[in-house]
Amino acid sequence: MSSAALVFAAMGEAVQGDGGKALSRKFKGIVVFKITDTNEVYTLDLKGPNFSVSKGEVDNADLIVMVESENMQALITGKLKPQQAFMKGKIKVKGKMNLAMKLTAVLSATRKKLPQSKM
Amino acid sequence: MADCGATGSAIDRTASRFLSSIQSSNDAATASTMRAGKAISQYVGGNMMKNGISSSAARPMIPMSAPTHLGPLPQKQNVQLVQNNETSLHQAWDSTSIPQQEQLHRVPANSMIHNHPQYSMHQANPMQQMHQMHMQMNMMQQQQQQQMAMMQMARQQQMQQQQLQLQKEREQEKILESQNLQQKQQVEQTQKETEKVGSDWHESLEDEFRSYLKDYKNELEKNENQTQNDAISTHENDDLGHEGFVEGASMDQLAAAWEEAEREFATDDYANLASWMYDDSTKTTKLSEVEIGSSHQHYEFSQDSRSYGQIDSNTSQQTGDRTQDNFVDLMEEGMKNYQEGNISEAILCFESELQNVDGDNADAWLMLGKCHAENDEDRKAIICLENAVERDPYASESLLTLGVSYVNELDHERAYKCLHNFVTHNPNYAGLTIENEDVDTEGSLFKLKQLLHEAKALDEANGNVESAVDVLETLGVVCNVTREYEEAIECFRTATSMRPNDHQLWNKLGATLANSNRSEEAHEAYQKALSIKPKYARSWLNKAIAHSNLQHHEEAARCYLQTLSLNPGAVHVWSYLRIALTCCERWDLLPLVAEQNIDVFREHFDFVV
Repeated sequence: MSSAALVFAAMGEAVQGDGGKALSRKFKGIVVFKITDTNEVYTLDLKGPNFSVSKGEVDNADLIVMVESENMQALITGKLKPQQAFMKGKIKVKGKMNLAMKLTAVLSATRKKLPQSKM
Repeated sequence: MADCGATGSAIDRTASRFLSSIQSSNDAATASTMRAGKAISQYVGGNMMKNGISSSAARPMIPMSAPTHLGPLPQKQNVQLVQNNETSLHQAWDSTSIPQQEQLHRVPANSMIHNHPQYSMHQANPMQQMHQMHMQMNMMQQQQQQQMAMMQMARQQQMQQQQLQLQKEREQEKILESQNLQQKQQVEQTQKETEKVGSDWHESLEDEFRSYLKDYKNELEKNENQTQNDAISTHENDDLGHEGFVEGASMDQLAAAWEEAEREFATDDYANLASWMYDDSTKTTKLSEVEIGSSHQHYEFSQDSRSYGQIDSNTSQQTGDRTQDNFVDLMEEGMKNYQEGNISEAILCFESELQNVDGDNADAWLMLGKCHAENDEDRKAIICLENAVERDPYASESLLTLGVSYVNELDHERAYKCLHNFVTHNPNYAGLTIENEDVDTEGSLFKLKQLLHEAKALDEANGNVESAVDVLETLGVVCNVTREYEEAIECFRTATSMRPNDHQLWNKLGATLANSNRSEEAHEAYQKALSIKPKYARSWLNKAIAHSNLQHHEEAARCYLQTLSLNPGAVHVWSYLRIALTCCERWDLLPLVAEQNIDVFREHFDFVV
């Protein structure tokens, strides 16, 4: 199991409840994430009546994101900014570019849901 | 004969020369069209043009077909002439170099000259000769006429083509001008926007973007200076299904959109705290604006503590008096409960104290804050500790504990203020202060570290071991903020060696190790903390996170449940539990989480009450 599983489980939490509704107002669409080095695929659904993150691919994706698990981790923790990743080719996107711009929102929301050690 | 041959070949020569001049002038048109195509493609956006214009569009717009209709000529001659012209034309089209012209000079094998009767015959009948000469002259004349006609046709066609080209050029000129204007405007706009947002951007990224902008502007200027031509630019709409990277014209769109996204969703977590602390969710970035112990949210006392610890006595019932005598010694009770790890009861004691006995009891506020912190409820802890600091601004422990909670909540500005005051408000460190306090947090934290080193030196000189350990603890916390994990770990290791029974120090050591990706070692530290205080909910939570970092999601779930059994009201922990269960793929248990019923999980996971 890779670190991606944790990230997407957190993303699943981020799209539930009020947080999910707020997020869907800014970002509406279906995104398929392909983790290139582990061959995992996750689908984020912020369109349909129920918001969710699930394993596997769908056909009606608005955006497809291809990224390595390492870079996905860096994106979430904030070590790598989406613009930099995009321009350096660390993430590749296919589909609606205007959605790709708003990925920041999804990443921020996910980060807030990831557990962090407390002193 | 020789004359005829010479005249014939002369005509051939002129014809071929004219044809190749036509071809080469078209060559020029071809070349300029290709150049134009390239310029346009650079202008509008490199990769985009690949889909739009292919190299085939570089060909001239009006294909010049070989003249098919020639003057009134005998059929045979006609065909031959046509063939000749076609061959030479084709040769002209496909060739670009001058040597071809020489080729054309060579009389083609099927030329009329060879088939001319006189060529093959050697008879010299004068009458026949005369007649033949006449015939020849006629034929030559006709040939000439033909070629003239051809030339005229060719000339006419070229004129037409040129006219059309001119028209197209003019049209494109207009389009390009307006596009130019638009893009200039857009570039200006983006420049303004980047200047506005400049301070919010990550520094290196700003530089990167500016260099991209520069390159883009240079391209724009280059294209302005080139002569426009007749490639029709296909302008794709960026929003619709465009693959891969979007460069060139859409760079400014990209930039504008990223800006907007960044602004809306601050990757800074400071915005978090600001939004729940203040209604207007203004982000405090200025250190000078930050104050401790002043504005804070109201603390919600729990219902259960309303009359907790009240002694039932006749006197109180009669007088309705609620003085200290009517309650057990709540502070003492509370301290006892706290030490034993009965945090929930301790909370009730302290809350009751604050509600019923003395709302300004700074110690009660401090203890209440400490209870919440140990239960991993930093937000509640912060409210209580702010209250404590407000009433007693010089209590070192309040300032330190509050600072730690702010660090956990990623509010570095307020954390800095607390920890700074921790040093400067301590009479032991009288005189120590930071000279020329920085405006930005980064610099200030660095100076704070120096201050702490000085304080430590003072303590060691005076033999104050206990306060030296406190300073070490503070130093370790500051190093966590500046991400100097090695130094932080050193501080906590030293501190725990000097004060081995402080569960909180062990927990801080563990958290530092976990944050620096040393989760295995973090477990050891948490183990130590939990052996000292088994009901330390915060350490159980940290332990779960360490397991999670090592991909042991079942173990993580177990530890989360342990945390929840100690503090069932920790909403965020229920969320973490869901994450862990999802990672274990135990989706069957997810509905149970919604019920927030701990006991149901006992049959699935083994954890203590």
